[in-house]
Amino acid sequence: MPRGYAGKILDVDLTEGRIREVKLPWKTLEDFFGGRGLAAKILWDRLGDHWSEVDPLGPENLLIALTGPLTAFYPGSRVCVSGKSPLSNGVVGSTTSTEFAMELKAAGYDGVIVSGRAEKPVYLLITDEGCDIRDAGHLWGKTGEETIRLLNREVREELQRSRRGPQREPGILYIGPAGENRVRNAAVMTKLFHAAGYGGYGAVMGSKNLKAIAAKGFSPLPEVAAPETVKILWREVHRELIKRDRMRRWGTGYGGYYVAADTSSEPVRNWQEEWHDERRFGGPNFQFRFWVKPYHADFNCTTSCMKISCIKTGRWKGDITDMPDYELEAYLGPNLGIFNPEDVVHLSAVIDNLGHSGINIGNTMAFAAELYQRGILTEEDLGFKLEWGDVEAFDRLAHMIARREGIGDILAEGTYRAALKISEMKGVDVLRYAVHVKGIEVGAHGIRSGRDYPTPIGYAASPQGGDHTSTTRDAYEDMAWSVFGDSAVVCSFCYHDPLIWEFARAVTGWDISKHRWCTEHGRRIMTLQQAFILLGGPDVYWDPDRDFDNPPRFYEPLPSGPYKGMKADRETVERMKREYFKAMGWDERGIPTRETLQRLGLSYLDPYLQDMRR
Amino acid sequence: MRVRVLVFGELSTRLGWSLDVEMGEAPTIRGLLKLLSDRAGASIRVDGGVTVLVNGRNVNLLGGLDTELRDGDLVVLLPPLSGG
Amino acid sequence: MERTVWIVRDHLRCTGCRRCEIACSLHHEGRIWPEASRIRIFMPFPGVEVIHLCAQCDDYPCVEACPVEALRVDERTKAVLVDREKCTGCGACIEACPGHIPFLHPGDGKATICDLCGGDPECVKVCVEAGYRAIYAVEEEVNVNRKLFARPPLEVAQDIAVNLYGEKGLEVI
Repeated sequence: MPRGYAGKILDVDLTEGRIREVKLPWKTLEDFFGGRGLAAKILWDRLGDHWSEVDPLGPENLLIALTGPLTAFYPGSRVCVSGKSPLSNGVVGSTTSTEFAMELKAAGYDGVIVSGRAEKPVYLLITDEGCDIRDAGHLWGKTGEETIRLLNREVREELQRSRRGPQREPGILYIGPAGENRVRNAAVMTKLFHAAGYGGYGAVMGSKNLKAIAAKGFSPLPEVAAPETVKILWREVHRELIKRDRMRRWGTGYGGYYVAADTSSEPVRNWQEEWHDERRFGGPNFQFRFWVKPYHADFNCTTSCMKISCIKTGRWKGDITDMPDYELEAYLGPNLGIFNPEDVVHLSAVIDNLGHSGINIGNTMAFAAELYQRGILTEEDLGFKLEWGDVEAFDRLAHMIARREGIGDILAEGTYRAALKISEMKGVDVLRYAVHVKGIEVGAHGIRSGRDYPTPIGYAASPQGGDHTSTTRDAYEDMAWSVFGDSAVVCSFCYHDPLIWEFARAVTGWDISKHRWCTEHGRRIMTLQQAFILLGGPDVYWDPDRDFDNPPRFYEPLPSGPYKGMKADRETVERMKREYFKAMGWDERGIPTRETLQRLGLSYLDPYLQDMRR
Repeated sequence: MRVRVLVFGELSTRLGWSLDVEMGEAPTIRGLLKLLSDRAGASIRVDGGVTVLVNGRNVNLLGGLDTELRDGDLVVLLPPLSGG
Repeated sequence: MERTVWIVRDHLRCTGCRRCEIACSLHHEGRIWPEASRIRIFMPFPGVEVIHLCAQCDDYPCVEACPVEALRVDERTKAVLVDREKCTGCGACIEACPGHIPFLHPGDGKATICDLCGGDPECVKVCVEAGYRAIYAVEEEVNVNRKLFARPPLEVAQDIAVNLYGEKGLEVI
């Protein structure tokens, strides 16, 4: 029995109302590990042979929530949500921090696969006794806050009927109205302000009428290979994480002023600029007025980079959200032309409660605002004016998109598909204003200044497109941080080299090393993900010669700031991309070669890719 | 012989974005980094968080600091990965 | 009166990391087992963490209530000790405790109560090391004040929610 794993996965068919338990072969676990990697393998096994025909919002798609062998043992417990992405038509490993991950393992499961579609809204309740499909009619339409409160109470009271004394709440993954209405880039939410945001898996849950998955376990965590070593490493890694003073003190929420002013890579007004000097948008303005809890963590984490904000006065009194983190500060702030901290805290709470992904919908709303700026979308199209900086207008728009009302119905398709539709409607090319890569809206770290961490091909070469948590660089280091973190399923902010690799060996008993992971497992997982992207469909396909590229905006020179005039250089991008593909063992257009497939044990992909090669 | 160096991240403020570097006989990454460190007035170390690529490949996969350079090679210096 | 170890608890400083539960279960059970941890963190709403832990009341109602005398007070540490042989898992101690703090072990169903690790509590070490000090150890005499800390977790949560979120806090639990 592989160690670290609970040993079984729930397999739920919502159409039939049938639940089974699946045990995967040891070799599969060793080759794909867990989380992102394992989800990709499961998706290939079940849907690979007709991938292009699978409708991500249809009953055939799978909604997968998987832990990995390190989850709950190593700091930063997370779960990886996956499936066929309604945005990229590929596979994204979309992770979020949540006690759900630990509770699932404590209940005796490594993950849950959901197929089919329930006739009416349901939620799943997973305990040591198994999995139950429950009616969620009373939860459908509810915001994040309401869902958490109601489900916590319901499950707690049920547990209290069969046990003595007060019982604790379950871990929950849920969707808000955005996911329910199949907003294509909607998030899977947890703990009010945590989101599995990239990939649009909230829409997949919505398409299955699946409101939530709750788990509460009473068993110990699974056995590990070397318990005494794990105990020692557990103390050691926490001591190391405690040293990360700045991250613990401020989290990423200090980025709102800093990233713009220093590295000039923060989106401003739909990426028309990447620099601003709004000092009142700095960290202290959030910290001292809004932070009510300066350290907040998820299971087994000492980094505690999360802080909780609450607005105590005025019209938005009672809004609760996280600090906000850098991404939402940028995407619901400067990218919408908003530079007032209270406005951003409010929008963050709105977005969280609706179950939107702040990054992705922030991108789409800014896209709409730029079209309004250019007179392409009018007040008549929208029903109101959409000026930069108008927080009320964006608040209203976010609600319209979540309910698919009016123009919201088009924008709910995500930036790329909305751009296609609006181009058609208005007879003008608006794709040039869409800042996405392979359908996935780009995270708030631009590449034009060259000062931030994503490389010129960070998004362009990545099978996860605009996902800033998993950018490509050298087919080596880039595997260690995100691909491993997403598959072990632990928080990348708790990554520590060499302790995480020692921990991995002590938990699983396998011969895992950074080098082996980066040259073998990581490449295997990424190559499988690349195959999905190449196959695409059914509504949208990516052309390797055109779509493995940065958004047009990144080739426009920065108009302001200390790096004014800088832009992505096409020649550099092309060269670095070709070199990256070669390092991955793919041809110069990004198609995995037959030799690479063989080396990685993925020869079964060859028949599907061979016609794509030149 | 000459190599092209692209510099990303904070180092670019000291070295500029793009340099053509003339190197003498038997040029290696070690030699290049020494040269660049002198120019930058700061030590550039592979274990200090900087990723060094030669024609897209991480030097850790080639010969490490002893990786040999050829005329026309593209060397890229990258800051550490992060994200959030 | 002698001074013994007591664990101060400051719910507002609790991050919800639950490493105290990991440390406790590693110490008492040899593995990570949150539901067997003697210190239990409730989080009925995000941000509203409640530290649920024996407070060593001065009158020990749990000890009084046990029908088979399975509970006693340790002479040295003043912690409550459970004789797992005698315990029948009836739950009388849970009812008697004003905060319903004892629980039945998920493994063998016996009453489980914090024993202060013999006077050197493990949970406190990880919390103090991390700099949170949501729990920390002091030395003081047993006194009437302690019973005030034995409260049902949802009751405490109501207070914390209002403290953090103002009027909104009245709605979230």
